Amino acid sequence: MKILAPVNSVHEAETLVNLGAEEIYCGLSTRTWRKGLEQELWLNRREPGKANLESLEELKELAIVTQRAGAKVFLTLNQPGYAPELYTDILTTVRQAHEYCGVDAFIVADPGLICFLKEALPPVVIHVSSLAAVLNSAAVSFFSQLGIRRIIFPRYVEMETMKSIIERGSAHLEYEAFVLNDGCVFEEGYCHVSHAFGGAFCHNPAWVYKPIKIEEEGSDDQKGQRERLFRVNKETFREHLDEYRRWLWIGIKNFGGVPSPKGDPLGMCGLCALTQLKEIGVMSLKIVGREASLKKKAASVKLVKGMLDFIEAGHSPEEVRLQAKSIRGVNGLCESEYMCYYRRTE
Amino acid sequence: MEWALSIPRGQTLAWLDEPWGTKETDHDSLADVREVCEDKFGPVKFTRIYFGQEFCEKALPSPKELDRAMVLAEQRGMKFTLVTPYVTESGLEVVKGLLQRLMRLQPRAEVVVNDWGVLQIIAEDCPTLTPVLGRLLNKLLRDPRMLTHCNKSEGEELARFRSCSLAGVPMQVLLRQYKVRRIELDLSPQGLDNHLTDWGYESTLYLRYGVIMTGRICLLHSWGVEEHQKFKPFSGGCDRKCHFYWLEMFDSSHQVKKSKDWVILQKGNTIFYREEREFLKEGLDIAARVGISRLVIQREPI
Repeated sequence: MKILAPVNSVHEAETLVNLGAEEIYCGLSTRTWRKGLEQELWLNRREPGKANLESLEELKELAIVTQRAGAKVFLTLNQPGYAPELYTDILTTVRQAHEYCGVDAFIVADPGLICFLKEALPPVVIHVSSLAAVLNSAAVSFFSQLGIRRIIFPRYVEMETMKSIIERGSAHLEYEAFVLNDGCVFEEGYCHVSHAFGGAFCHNPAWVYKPIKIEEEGSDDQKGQRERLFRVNKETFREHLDEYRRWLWIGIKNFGGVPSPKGDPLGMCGLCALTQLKEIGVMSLKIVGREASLKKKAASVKLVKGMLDFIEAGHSPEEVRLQAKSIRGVNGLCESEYMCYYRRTE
Repeated sequence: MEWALSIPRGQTLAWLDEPWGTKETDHDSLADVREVCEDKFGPVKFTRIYFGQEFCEKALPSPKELDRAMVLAEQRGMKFTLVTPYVTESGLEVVKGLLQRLMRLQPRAEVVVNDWGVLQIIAEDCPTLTPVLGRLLNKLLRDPRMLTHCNKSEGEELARFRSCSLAGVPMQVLLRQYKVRRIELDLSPQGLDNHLTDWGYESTLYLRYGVIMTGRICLLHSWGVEEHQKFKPFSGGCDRKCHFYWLEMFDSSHQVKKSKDWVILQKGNTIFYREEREFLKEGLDIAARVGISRLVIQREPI
C-alpha cells in the first residue's frame, strides 16, 4: 500500500516524499482563476491560500521534485459539481497541468466533468473523488464506464462493504481509503453547502437543537409522551447532545489541533485497520489536510510509514492493532472509537 | 402542472386521504402550503404518488409496503413513482429487489434515483423502468448562508449558483444514455435558473423541505445507545426515532442567520430547511416562469 499525502508547496512535497509518501496530492488556485471567478467559486473544496498552490510553475516544480524521487502527483478538482461554463477553463488548467507540469492524475467527482475531460484529453488519468459518494459496486460500475482509474472510498465505509465492492469491481481499478486526520459529520458528496460562506456548516458548536415530538396517533398518554420526548434508554437529549459535541471535538475538530502526549496529530485514524485494508485490496492510504501544517503532515506520514513497516515485518493483524494503539498513545480514545474511520461492526 | 404527493413510508399511506394534514397546529400541517399553491395554480389534484424517500437505506420500504402503495395508487387512478435513497452494498441489494418487483408489476413506472449505482442498476437490469435524477444528484448549492454571509452574493452574482453540471452538454449526453429525461430540484436560496428549460429535461420541484446535507451517521439513531455504537454508520435494524422527533436548529453564533424565509431542521440523518410562506410564494412564481412541470408536496421528507 502506498501513502498518499497532502501538500501545498514544493518544499512539503520534497519533505513528505523523503519520509515515505509515494503519492502526493495538491490543489491549485491561480490568480487568474480567482480574479475571474470571485472568491466563492473555488476550483476545489478548499479555500485559496494555504491549502492550494498558486501557479502552474510551482506545480511543475513540485511534479519534477516528486517524480524524480519516484512518487506521483495528483491534482484535485473535487467539487461535487461545476457549472458547465467553467468546464472550458478547467480543461485549460487540466491540459496545462497534464502536458506542461506532468501531473499524473486528477481527482474529480463530477461525472459530467469526467466525461468532458476524457473526451478532450483521453490519456488523462482520473481518480473518482470521495465527493462522488461511491458507496456500492454498481456506482463503481457507473464510473468505471467513464474510463476512470481509481475509486476513492468516502469516509467510514465499512470494511465488509469495501471488500464486497472491490471483489465485484473490475480488476483494472485501484482503490484508495482514508487513513488519517479529518472526519466529516455528513456524507461529503451529499453536502449542499460551501465552506466559502463561512466555513463548515455542520460542526459549528453554537448550534442549538430543540427536539420536537411528533404525536403518535391515538395516544392520549400525555405524560408518557413528555417523558419520551427528552429521554431514550435513560439518556436525556441534553446528555446526548453533550456526547455529540464531544464526538465532534474528537473526531471532526481534531481536539482543536492539540497533539497526543507523543506529539502526534490527533483526529480520525484507521491505523489499526491497515492489515484488513491491505487484505481487501486497498492500494492507497489517504492522509487528509492540505491546509494543515507541515509538522502535522510529516508526523502523519511517519505514523503511517511506521505502521506499514511493522506490517511488512510480518506481524499478525492483532499485533498490528495493538501496535497502532500503542504508537497513538491515547488508549481511552481508541477504546471510545470516536477517532476511528473503521469502527467495529456489531 | 402535475401534482405529486410524497408518501415517505408505508405507515404514512393514510396521507393519501389527508394530503395536507388535518389541523393547523399539526407539525406537518400544510394548510399554508396549500393556500399558496392554490392561489397560484387553482385547486390542486394529486395525480401521482411519490413512494419512498431519498435519505436513508434503513428506511427503504418492504416489498409488502411497495405492493400496498401501488395498489392504493391504482385504486385512486394515480401514477406511481418509487423514490430511492443513496445506498451502500447492503442497501443496494434491497433496492434491486424492489426494482425487480416494480418492473414486474408496473414495467414503465418511474424511479427517482439518488445514487449513481442505482441508475446503473436500472440501465442494466430494469431497462423498462423510467429513471428520474433525484435532487441529491444535482449539485446545486442549498446554503442558507449564501444571502447573509459577509461576502454575500447578490444580483447577477447569484446567477452563477443557479447552474450546475446538469446544464452542460457532457452531462446531458451521459444522462441520455441512461434514459434520464427528468431531473429534480429544491427551491434553493439563490433561486432557479431562468434558462432551466434549455437544460433539456423535464423538471420537478419539491415543496416544502429543501435538503442542506445528509449522511450515514444519524444523530437521532445514536441517542440512547452505548458509546461504542454512537455516531457511526450502523449495520442492522433501526428503531426509527426519526419518525417521532424533529430537531429545530438555531445557530447561537449567528453564522447561520435567522430568516423569515425558512426554518432549519434536522430529521434523522438529514438537515433540511422548511420553506416558509413568502419564500414559497416567490418560489412558485419562479417555478411557473422557468418551466417546472411537476411539484412534489411533502408533509414530511423522511
